[in-house]
Amino acid sequence: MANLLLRRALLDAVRVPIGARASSELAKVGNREWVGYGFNGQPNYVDRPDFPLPAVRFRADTPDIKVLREKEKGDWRKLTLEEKKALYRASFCQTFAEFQAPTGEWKGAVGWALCIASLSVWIYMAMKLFVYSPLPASFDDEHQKAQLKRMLDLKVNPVDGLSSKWDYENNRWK
Amino acid sequence: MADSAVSTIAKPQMRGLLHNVIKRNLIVAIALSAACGFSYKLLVGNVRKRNYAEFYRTYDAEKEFEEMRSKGLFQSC
Repeated sequence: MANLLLRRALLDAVRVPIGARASSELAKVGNREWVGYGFNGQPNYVDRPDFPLPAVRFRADTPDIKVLREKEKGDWRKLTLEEKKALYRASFCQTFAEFQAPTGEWKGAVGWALCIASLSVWIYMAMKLFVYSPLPASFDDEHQKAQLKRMLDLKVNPVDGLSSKWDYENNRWK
Repeated sequence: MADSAVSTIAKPQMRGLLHNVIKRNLIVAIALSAACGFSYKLLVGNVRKRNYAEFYRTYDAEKEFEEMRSKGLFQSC
């Protein structure tokens, strides 16, 4: 009865007509107890480390669990470890350790990223062979040497840069 | 759930945690920034100033100009 009241109160709070609420939501919930607001007000179950209080219990109550719930209302020190675990598994799908365990997904991600990056190198080679026009004449060795000589004659960047690395007395690099 | 094999950890800070975290981070950030700033000034800034001073101590603009002109590098002279 309290659960029905809770359902009605929550529905009114969210102010969505019952027909409009996705019938799939409540249909998915089934018999399970709606215990709180949840992270967005919908009756859903998600294991979230940043919001550890799902709106519905994970499993519908069995008679065994109903007994334990009565016992749960008393002193928790009287519960055995097995009972505590049973209560946990009735309300939750996985423990924090389980849903935060590493998945190894990063290996696939890095692998695919490297595959696509290497594909891009092949694409560049294809572009160079079939698409790009040849480089202009001024890119060949002789022209580039002449350009470098002109820069050294003009003493480009003489303090920290190009010309500072050239030995002008002996005509060679320092 | 008290296993005898497990021991209790130290009690974590319950109040004022954000304040303390911010204080600690602020001190570290300011110290690191100051250190970086000073090392940059010493290792880059001062060295550069010395190099420029050294270069211009013995720099003769007229001589350089004549050398370039004689190589035909100017269009106007």
